Amino acid sequence: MTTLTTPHHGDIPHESNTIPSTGIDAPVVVGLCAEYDDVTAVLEAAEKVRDAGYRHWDVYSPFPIHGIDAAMGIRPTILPWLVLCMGLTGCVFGISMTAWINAFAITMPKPFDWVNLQGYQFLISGKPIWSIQANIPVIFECTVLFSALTAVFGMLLLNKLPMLYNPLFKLEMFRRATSDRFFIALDAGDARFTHEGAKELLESTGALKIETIED
Amino acid sequence: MAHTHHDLSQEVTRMRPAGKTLGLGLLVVGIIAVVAAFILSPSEDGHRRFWFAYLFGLCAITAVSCASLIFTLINHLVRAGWITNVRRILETMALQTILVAVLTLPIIGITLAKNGVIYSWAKPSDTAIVEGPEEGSESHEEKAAGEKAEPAEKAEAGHAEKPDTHHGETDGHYGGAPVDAAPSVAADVTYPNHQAQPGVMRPFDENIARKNHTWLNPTFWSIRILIYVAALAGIAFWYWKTSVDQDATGDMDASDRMFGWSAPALIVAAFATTFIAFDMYMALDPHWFSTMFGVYYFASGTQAMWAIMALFVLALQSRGYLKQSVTKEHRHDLGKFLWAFIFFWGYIAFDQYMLQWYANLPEETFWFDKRGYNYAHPTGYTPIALALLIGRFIIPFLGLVSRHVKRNRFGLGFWAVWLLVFFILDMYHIVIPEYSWTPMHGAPEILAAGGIMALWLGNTIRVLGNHELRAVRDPRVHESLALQNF
Repeated sequence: MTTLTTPHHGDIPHESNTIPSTGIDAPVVVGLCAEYDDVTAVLEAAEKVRDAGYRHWDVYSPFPIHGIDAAMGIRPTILPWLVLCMGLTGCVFGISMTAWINAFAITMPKPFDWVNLQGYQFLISGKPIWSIQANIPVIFECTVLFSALTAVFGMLLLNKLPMLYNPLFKLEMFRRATSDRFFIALDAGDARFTHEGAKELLESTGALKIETIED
Repeated sequence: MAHTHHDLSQEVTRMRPAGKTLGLGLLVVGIIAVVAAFILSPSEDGHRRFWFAYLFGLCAITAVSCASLIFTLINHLVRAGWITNVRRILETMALQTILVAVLTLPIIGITLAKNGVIYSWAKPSDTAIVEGPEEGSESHEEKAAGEKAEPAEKAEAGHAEKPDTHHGETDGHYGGAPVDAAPSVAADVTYPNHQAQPGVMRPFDENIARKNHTWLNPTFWSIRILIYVAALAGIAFWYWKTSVDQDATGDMDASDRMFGWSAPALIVAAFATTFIAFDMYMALDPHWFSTMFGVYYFASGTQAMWAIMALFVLALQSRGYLKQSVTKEHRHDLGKFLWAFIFFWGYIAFDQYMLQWYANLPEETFWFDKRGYNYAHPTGYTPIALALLIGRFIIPFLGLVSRHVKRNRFGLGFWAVWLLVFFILDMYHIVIPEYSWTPMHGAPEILAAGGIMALWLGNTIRVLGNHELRAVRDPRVHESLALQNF
């Protein structure tokens, strides 16, 4: 899911610079938040926002909602391709590492004969120094390790996590996002965002309450 | 869309008579094929070739039926909602454990007859040394003994003269044969003799028979097999019956009862499946033991089971059944399981091989030698071993990895058929190498194994046709319909 981006200070209207400084940063409008009380309402609202062409916005829900991806128009993630690439990398890494450690030996010509590139060429149970059978487990585990770490950290990064602060937390009503209410937040950084236009759109979706997000 | 209840009342959930006719037709064809295979197979060794072909077919349908039962139980145990609308197919496949039990009876009969036609260890101790197809046993033993003696002499001679080789290479004493060529190990590897005389025992078989082996003796073995198949068939019948009865009564408690019994039943079914694999198929070579063989057999059967499930769903939907209750999401999930078991099978197959390759114990590696896994000594089965690695693991793993393939009818159907072919090849490579070192794929194999598979398929279709095609009054029908994949 997309997440609300941090305040765009570059987008502050020019006039705000003329306000005398009080020593505290004046609150900036970073978006609009609308509250809904059931899944169907928030799904329909999400479809409207999607059709209005917004890009920087998100839906907040206490639990996963089936069909929210389609309602929000979220495109398929590129994560599988990252995992595939890193899995193959891990596979190649596993093969190279086992071959390097077990079977590699280079004797450099003089005057570099002090360079001793020699693997641990142990003879175990009369098996070859390096064999695919003995090393498949290592290669497999490297593939899994690379894939799994890419999947976990790729997911976090693509979701812009960890996000330790979000101006939405300042809204009193948003506290119910983890219990029984659903929210749609439009980001002021969106190209289509105007305060009135966004408010009108959210009102047309039948929101219970609409509040301005300030930061 | 989630959270909306669809009206499923218009859906066709009863098979038209044509479907049942197909099922009955397959049953008749199957019986005729099995009988024809029996007639066509050579009779002088007690139709040994036929019984191995029969066992090949039985191996395949047992694997699929047991896997279906285990997954029926697992789905109840975890209260899986998604599978509800396709569960009847699974239950009906599991019900075929009754057919498996019936078809296992002749094998038990032959083992109790103690003639060693199928299991070499089943022959009584005083006649432990089997006569070959004609009367060649004694001469074979002598021949083998002669072969053993000769290289041993060479080795002795070579050993004595060894120091000379360093000094005088033109000695000519060895006739050009390298010294290392004559260790006594070579005498044990009598591949050509095994090839020529199927059914010839190795010394260890004789020992098993002589000692009246505690585990592999015909009486105890038969009792065990009867217990396994009775347990499997009993559990499968109870689950199928309870589910079918629920179609009529709509009794919610039935779901709870099926859930409640699933854990103990699963333990019994898992043990029975594992020990069927051990006692019926691992015991074909009494030297060989692999604690992973039960899992291997389960993995193989489960993969085929998902393939058959997917094909049943595709075939039924193409004929207008289950059009609303079973969606692309269900087919996607079947594809996911199918794909997962490609890897699971590959993982188990490799592990079983790798551990025994590493330990390198003769009685274990012999099993792989016969099947041509040893690239230094390829047998007629080497192409099959390679085909399993490439065709059952690498290619379908890459082919079915994408969700777009799994969600596509043609993609899912193609890979399901592909994997079924390799499943049958896998079952072939478990059973038939124990009959002969050269691959056997003549009329007896095709007719007997094909006939048994036709019997299984025919009976599955027949039973499916007699009842609702899905659990129509299961409380989780709509939960299953709400399935969404991300």
